Parts: sequence; C-alpha cells; structure tokens
Amino acid sequence: MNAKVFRSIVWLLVAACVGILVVLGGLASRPPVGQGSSARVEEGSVPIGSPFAMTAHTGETVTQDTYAGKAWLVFMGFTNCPDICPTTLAEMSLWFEELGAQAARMRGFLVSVDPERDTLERLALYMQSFDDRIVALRPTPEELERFAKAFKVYYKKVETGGGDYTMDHTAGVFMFDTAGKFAGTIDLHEDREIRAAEAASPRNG
Amino acid sequence: VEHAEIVLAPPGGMMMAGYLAIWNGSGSQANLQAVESGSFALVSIHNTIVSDGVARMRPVEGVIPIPGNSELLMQRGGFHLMLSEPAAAIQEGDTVEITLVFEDGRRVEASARVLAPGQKTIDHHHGEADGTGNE
Repeated sequence: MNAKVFRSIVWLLVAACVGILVVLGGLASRPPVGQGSSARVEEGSVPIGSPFAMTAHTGETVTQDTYAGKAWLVFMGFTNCPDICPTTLAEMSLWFEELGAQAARMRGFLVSVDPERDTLERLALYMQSFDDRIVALRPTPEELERFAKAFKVYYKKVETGGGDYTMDHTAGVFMFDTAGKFAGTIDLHEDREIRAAEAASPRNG
Repeated sequence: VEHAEIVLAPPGGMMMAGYLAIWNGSGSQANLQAVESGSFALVSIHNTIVSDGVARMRPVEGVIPIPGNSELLMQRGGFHLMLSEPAAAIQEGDTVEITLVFEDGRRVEASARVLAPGQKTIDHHHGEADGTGNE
C-alpha cells in the first residue's frame, strides 16, 4: 500500500475515533457500561488522570479544568527530539486541520518531559510550527513526576556521553473524551496494523 | 543512495533529523560507519526503538551492516541522522551535501533535500521509477 493511501485510511480512522470521543462526551451523564449504577460521572468536572497545574507556552497556567469539556490528545515529548516528536505533532496538526469545525471540541497537548531544557521561550518558538490548538505544557520536575504517575506514562533521562542526554518517553498519543475519560492510545510508531486497529476502537484502551 | 532528506527542526529545536535510503547493489555486505557533512558541526546516526509504547533513542555504536543487494531505509521511529549546529542558516528547499563513510574506507557523496519541520519523508524504494531517486 503506498503511503498516501495509507495516510488517508489512518486519517479516516482517527476522524471516526474523534467523532466517537465527542459523542461519548455527550453521553457522559450515563454511567459507563460495566461499572454499575453506582458510577458517578459529572460532565465537565471529571478529573483527567489527576489534578495538575503546568505553565503553557503562552505563559498561562493550565490545569485539569482549563480545557474541561474538550476532547484531549496528549503527547509526551521534548524539543531536542528530532525524530518522533515533530512528526507526531505535525500529524496531530493535520488531524486538527482535516477535522474542520469539529476540531473546536478538541485540544492537543505536548507535555514536556525535559522541562530543564524546554524553557517557555523555546516551547513558544517550537509551537509556531504546529496547529495553534496544540498547547505545550512545561511542568516543574515535581509536577512531571506526579503527572507521569497519575497518567501512567514513562519518561527517563538517559546520558548519551559528553554531558549530553536524551529522554526516553511514552511515544503514543493518549486520548480523553469530552467527559475527561481515558479513551485509548494512538501509537504512531508501532506497526501500522496495530495503529489502525487502535484508532478504530478507542474504547479498548 | 536512493534518496536523502533532512527535516528541519521547528524553531526552538536544536536537532534536525535526516533520513537516507541506501541501496547496496553489490553482492557483498557494506558497513556504514558514519555520515559526514560540511554543513553541520555535528552529524551522528541514531536509532529510535519503540517498545512497550516507550520511545528510546540511542546513538548507533559500531557500524550498520547493509547486506548485498539490499536496502537500508532510514525512517522516523527507526534509524535516522541527527544533525545540529549548521554552519549557515538552512531553509526548506535547500540542498545539503553529505558523505557516507563505509568501514572499508569507501566514501559516497549524496545530496540531501531539506524539508519543512515535521514534513513526511518520501516513501521511495529502490527500483521504483517515481522520479525521486538520487542516482
């Protein structure tokens, strides 16, 4: 299959998936299947992972409530990452572009796993290359540790010699529906078949 | 070299990525040792491995073997070049000269196209007559 055809197919799956996220958000007052009648879901106030507060590349403070009611696409990365990070953010930018009006109900996030080097100035420059509905967040090191625990994401500083270092990090884009419930992961770098299957079934995360 | 591309870093990013497709048309294995470029102070070969959902990028130690009559295709989430500290400002559409250095001392020149940040590299393989080949 050539890349262009494949791209179109993945894109359609993502669009379908985001559509489902938005619909799910609309149904949020109903308890999720399998959790019984005791499940309590308050639309718009459901915490995503856990409370957090980070500084956005625009300088404002972003908490779990700032974009409540939107579907979230969250990616962990850093600006000194030449390979996976820019390609993922470029891909995410395309989703926003191709979703058109529906994208108003969605926000993307780059959470820096390298706040030491990713200053707000650098993040602000970096985000110029991507859709402006993607927000770069700079946590403090302590906040990053808490966030990673609550969201079950992985990051680790790895020395590469000569005083330089790189970051290992969770590579997938994890999704939350408009009610703030985890709705699965899209991994752009796993096998294409796996990725397509994931995007087609966002509730299986 | 079938094709060679360098993807610009977004502003603020210090590292650019480069992707090559190298066809070894000889019957014997070629060992890629390094890639050099006068246009960058630092060029190295890295490999990103994604396993259990975690991306780990590491410098390549030693050589990358390319068996006879086969292709080494660098791509995102795999082998790639890391280029930093350009000698002069580099823009989309520019061409950058690079040199592949093999373990046996052979040097192969190639021209890399410069792409915009995040832009996808072309999906070209040896033998495909799509006009993107370098050789």
